[in-house]
Amino acid sequence: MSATAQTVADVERLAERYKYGFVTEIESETAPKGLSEDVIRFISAKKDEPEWLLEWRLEAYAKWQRMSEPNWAKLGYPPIDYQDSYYYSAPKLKDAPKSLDEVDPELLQTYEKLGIPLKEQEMLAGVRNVAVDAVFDSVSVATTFKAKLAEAGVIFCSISEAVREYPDLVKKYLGSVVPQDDNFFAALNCAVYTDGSFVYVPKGVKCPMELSTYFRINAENTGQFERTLIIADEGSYVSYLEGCTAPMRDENQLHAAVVELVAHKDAEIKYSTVQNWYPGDENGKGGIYNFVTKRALCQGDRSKVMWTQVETGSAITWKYPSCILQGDDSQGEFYSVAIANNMQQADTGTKMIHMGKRTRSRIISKGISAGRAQNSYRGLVKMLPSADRGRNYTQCDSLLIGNKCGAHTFPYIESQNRSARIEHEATTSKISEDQLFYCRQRGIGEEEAVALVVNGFCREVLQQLPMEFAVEAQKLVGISLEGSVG
Amino acid sequence: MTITEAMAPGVEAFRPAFRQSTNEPTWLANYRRAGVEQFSATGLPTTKDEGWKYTSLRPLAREKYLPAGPGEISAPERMLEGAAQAVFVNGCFSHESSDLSGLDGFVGSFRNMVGDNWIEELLTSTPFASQAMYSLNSAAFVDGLAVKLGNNVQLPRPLEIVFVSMPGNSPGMWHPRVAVDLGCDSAATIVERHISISDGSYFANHATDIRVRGGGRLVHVKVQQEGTDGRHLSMARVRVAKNSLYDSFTLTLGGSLSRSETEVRIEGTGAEVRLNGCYAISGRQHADHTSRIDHLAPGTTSRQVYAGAIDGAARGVFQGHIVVDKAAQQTDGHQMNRALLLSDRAEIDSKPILEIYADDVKCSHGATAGDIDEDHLFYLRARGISAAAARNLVVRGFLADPIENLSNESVQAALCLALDSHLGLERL
Repeated sequence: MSATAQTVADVERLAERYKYGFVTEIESETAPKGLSEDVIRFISAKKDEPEWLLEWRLEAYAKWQRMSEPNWAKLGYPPIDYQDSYYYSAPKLKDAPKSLDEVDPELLQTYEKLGIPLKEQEMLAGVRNVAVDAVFDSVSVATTFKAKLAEAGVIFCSISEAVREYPDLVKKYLGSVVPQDDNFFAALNCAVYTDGSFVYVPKGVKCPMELSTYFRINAENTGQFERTLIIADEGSYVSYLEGCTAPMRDENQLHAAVVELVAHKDAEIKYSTVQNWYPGDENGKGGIYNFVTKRALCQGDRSKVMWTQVETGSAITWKYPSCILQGDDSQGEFYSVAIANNMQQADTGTKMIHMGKRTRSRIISKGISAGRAQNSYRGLVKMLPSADRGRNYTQCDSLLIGNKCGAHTFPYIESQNRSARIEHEATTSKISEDQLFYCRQRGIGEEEAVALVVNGFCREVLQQLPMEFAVEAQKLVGISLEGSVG
Repeated sequence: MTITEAMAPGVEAFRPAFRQSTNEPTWLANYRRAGVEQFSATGLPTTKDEGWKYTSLRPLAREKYLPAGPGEISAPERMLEGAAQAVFVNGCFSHESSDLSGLDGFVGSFRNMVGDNWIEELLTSTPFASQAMYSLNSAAFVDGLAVKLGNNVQLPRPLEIVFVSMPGNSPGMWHPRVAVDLGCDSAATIVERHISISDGSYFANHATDIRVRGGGRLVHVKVQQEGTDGRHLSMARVRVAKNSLYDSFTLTLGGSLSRSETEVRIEGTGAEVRLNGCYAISGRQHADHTSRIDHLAPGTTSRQVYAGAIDGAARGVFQGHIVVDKAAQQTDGHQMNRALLLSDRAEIDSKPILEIYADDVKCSHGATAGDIDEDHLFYLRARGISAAAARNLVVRGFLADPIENLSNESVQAALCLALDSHLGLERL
């Protein structure tokens, strides 16, 4: 191709790109319904992103278009029309607030109702060091405790801010654990993610407080596409808490988040989740569709990642927080409680890929099914030929409450190393009549008794949660099972 | 659209095996046609099919197998003392080598008994879903064995079904069919043996249909010692009724590629199913044990224990699937796969699945993988046993463990002997 032809082609390409002139549209708060290159450009422009990130999004979109939705999970739902959803909506804010005082009081009230007294937390900073990077419909509206974290050198901000302030870090790590075309939902997220959190803990730093983000879904018909990236540099430690609630909604809402964790040499990341999004009503009307890709790379020697999750919400859960144990002596842990009641369907578990020598993993999964729900554990433990003396222990227990629900276990166990040892155990049983009777005899109501017994069943997992979450999670277990007996 | 146009890739290679029905009852002609259609629609399963994720049939597609003819051999040595023998050479029944005396009226060549109503009923009123390799067998079987016991009968002698492969210069294939119908409160012991008496490439694709009626007791053992260039696939479909017992054991030692698949439907209260087995493989062997047990009635039990020793660059696969239906309250199901990896290139892939729709159940599964326990070796070495002998002893103990679950003691002893001679161990 001659130089002239090349130039003409370039100009044509650029003209094509900008033909919709989103300069005016950028003022709108919501991207037009549906998904197209233009919507992606809108999102990118709206967030004032650099060219490389837009390219990256478009590349992911092109890949996504060639992929098909996975159907191997034990989930049934009507086909999703990806053109019938909004991919961007911002909360009504004139300027980004510099402190909580500038935040819309109505917003703060919503948080109050949901039991997260944001303001109080800041006031109580000295007592309970919890920093909250609240995400309200895809855009960070309030970030607290920045100063204290900055002092320690910890970067904790929205991923959009990180793209602006720390482009090198983002460029280096974004998509390094979950590639663009890892799976259908991850590719979709790459193309349209709106915001999320970014954490970087520098060498040798023990993060001075638990980091926490509350995700909320509010605007109707808005798919939520969060993107989280956490990097723990050599010898550092961070504990990250993620909690979710969503208001009542009739229409199904799509959620496809991606979380990437990178742990360098001797670093440790603890990632805890409580997910109680709207599960739909008892007839299966409404509820969130939750398709999440969470993966950690234990890159450095002796690095450690611990996933703890309490999954009680969503109509559909498709989620497998995983660890790639690359560094020698690295460790991965997965503690999970998944509760499915009424018409909920959950297909969740983990993958532990052992690559490094003497890598260790531990999986403790507790599944509870009630009502007409279907709850599946799906997991993979893989010992590669290089995983000398690798070690895995897996325990999956399922509890059934009532005779209309289902509990399923699909473990994949692959070993290519003779010195590696794998132990897997799974059990399924009914909630103990004896234990219930014991409680009832002592005047404890039936629902409360079930909550007690189930809390006991989940104890091993719940006690892995940070204090702030443990209490909330225990209450949640009881609330989630309301109406499951009698 | 003709069948040829509807064919999935690779099906053409098996076309020579499809039987043209002449002098066969109408139901069988229809049955075969359905088999041809089902197999042609899907072709050989691939690793993209969830049930074949770990076992690739590509080696089958590469070889040009042709249907093999009968051969003459002298009667094989018995595994069980006093057992009757039905001998097949390259999938064809051999009257001369067989000894079925005392079993008249109970056992016969499939070809001769195919007019019987019970065979038609057993094959055509099946509740099982279609499966490609089974369909291929339906389209292609020439002969096999039919075993029919009425109510309250004990098969007078244990029965050995010996499948001898005697491949010629070109790769051969055969698709034998076995049908067993055990009447109420009847009992039988059947040992299937798969042996090879000459080198050469072949593909044996077995299909077995079994019914154990109320109160029946069937001991069904399979010893697979195919030749080094033999590929062995088998599919057994078993229905068990009220208070009956299906007690099975699979010993897998031979073949370059093998898969023993069992599907069991537990249809009556109080029934018990035991699927146990062990396998010792090495070199580049690939051994797959796949099972599915459907608990469909209340108060039923299933027990499954497999132990495997994998050496060289061999690969072991275990897929166990327990399904508990809504109606099957008080189910007690347990499943275990233990694997020893004896070399740096050995591999084990396990997939034990529980799928449960009833709440009052006790179900569990377990899987382990790892090397020989150093402490066990040390114990023996400290007592003056050489390293090699100590290793063999530990492996033998590990593999023999599930054999104890079998209800027939003389079969237990025969299995231990077969295992010992394979491992090169003298009787202790």
